Amino acid sequence: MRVLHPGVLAALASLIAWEGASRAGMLDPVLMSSPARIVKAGARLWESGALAGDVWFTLQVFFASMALALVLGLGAGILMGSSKLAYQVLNPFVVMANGLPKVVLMPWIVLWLGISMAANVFLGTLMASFPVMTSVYGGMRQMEGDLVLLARSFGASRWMIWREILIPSLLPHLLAGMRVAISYTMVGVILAEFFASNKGVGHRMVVYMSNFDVDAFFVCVVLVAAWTVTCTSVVRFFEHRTESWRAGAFDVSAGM
Amino acid sequence: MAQVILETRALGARYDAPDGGDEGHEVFAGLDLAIMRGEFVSVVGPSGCGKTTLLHILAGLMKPAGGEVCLHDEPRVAVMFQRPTLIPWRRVLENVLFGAECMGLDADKERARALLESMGLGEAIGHRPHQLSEGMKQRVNLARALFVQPDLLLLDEPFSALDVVTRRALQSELLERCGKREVAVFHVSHNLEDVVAMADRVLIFGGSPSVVVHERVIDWPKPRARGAEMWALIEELEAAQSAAG
Repeated sequence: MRVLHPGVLAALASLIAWEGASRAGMLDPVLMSSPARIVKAGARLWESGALAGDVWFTLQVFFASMALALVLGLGAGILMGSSKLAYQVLNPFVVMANGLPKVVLMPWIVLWLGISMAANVFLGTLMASFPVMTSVYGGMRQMEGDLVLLARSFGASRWMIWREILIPSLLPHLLAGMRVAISYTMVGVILAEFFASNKGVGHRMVVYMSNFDVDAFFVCVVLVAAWTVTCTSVVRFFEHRTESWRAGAFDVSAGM
Repeated sequence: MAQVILETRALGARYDAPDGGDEGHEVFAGLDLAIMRGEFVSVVGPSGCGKTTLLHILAGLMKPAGGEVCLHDEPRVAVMFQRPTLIPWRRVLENVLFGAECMGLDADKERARALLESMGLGEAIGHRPHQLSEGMKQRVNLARALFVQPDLLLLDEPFSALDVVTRRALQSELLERCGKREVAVFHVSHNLEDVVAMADRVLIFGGSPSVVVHERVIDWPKPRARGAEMWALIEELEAAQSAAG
């Protein structure tokens, strides 16, 4: 009888090994925390409320970046997928910008927008837009023309074709892009807070490490990881639901 | 006197050259057709002769290069494509309602349910398309077209991917339901057996650009038994098709 999911079991085993190694003195306590110390530090920060404002700030930047990335990525993906001219005009810029490590733009973003929430949102959006756009563009390329033809044969309006055929067709691609974009956004937001912010979880991590408070630093790492995993799981849940539409959606590990 | 439901006058179709030059391909030209209410007209011809192009023009999905299509008394038109083209995220019942929703008609779920049950799809009502066999998918496709109560049904080889038993069952279903409501049917096909089993009139396309090279009225009662007479007619039509090149 299977009691626990193998992934949960592996995570628990890692935590136990980590805690054991720490208690056995195998890890330098100045450089490395342990699960028990992280929990203790988490409780301390929770009681003092020291981190709450920073968490709220980072969440605002995250949501703003994701929302803007969705609008921009969806718009650009649809435009490039529906117009050959738009694709020819935009594609060189997209290839160039996609290949560029966005973080190198941070000094310029700060110069332009200052040390502000806007600067953080800018980098987060920049990081997240490309996965959404490429995924939506791919969805437009794979669009089933027959379904549009069917709707047109029944005299469907343009709005009805978008609502009933095009948007649902794009949804699985949008969700796949969003799932990738969540981690990219978080990377962008935390990096921006490292370099150009006096608030947020990223900023707080720099402060904690400057004070050699490795336990509090790891509390922030856990928070960021937990948030990313939660968001990714929510999107994955909706992806699973859309996969049930498709005949080709089968479990590749079945029978292995 | 039989009432004309659809007419084409000097209808022409043309595909542009891939490089956008003047040298396009003229598919057919000067086509004059008339289809009566309740009549079943089949068009056969070699691949590329313009059968599907003609059907798309009649359905309003393509613009003709010349001539015009006249629909009399604003008939309600439904199309059945070669592939079942069911919407994957809609369940069977919702797929059947789709045509009516697009046309702004009453999408009465109870009527759709009754139609599906009468077509032997009662147990599949809540299924998604990928859970159905090819035959069931095409049956749902037929149900969706019939649900809008069309006056004119355009069929683009809808039975070509089906096995013989399913194909014959669907043909009977189609003939019975269209016969009851005097639905005019315009059917394009490669399969002369299908054509001879269902059509009141057969048009054979041939030449380049295509024209109607042979017309044959089949006034036998339906349903038609597959006997020597039918095979003789198939041979006659095959000969006419070969002669047309």
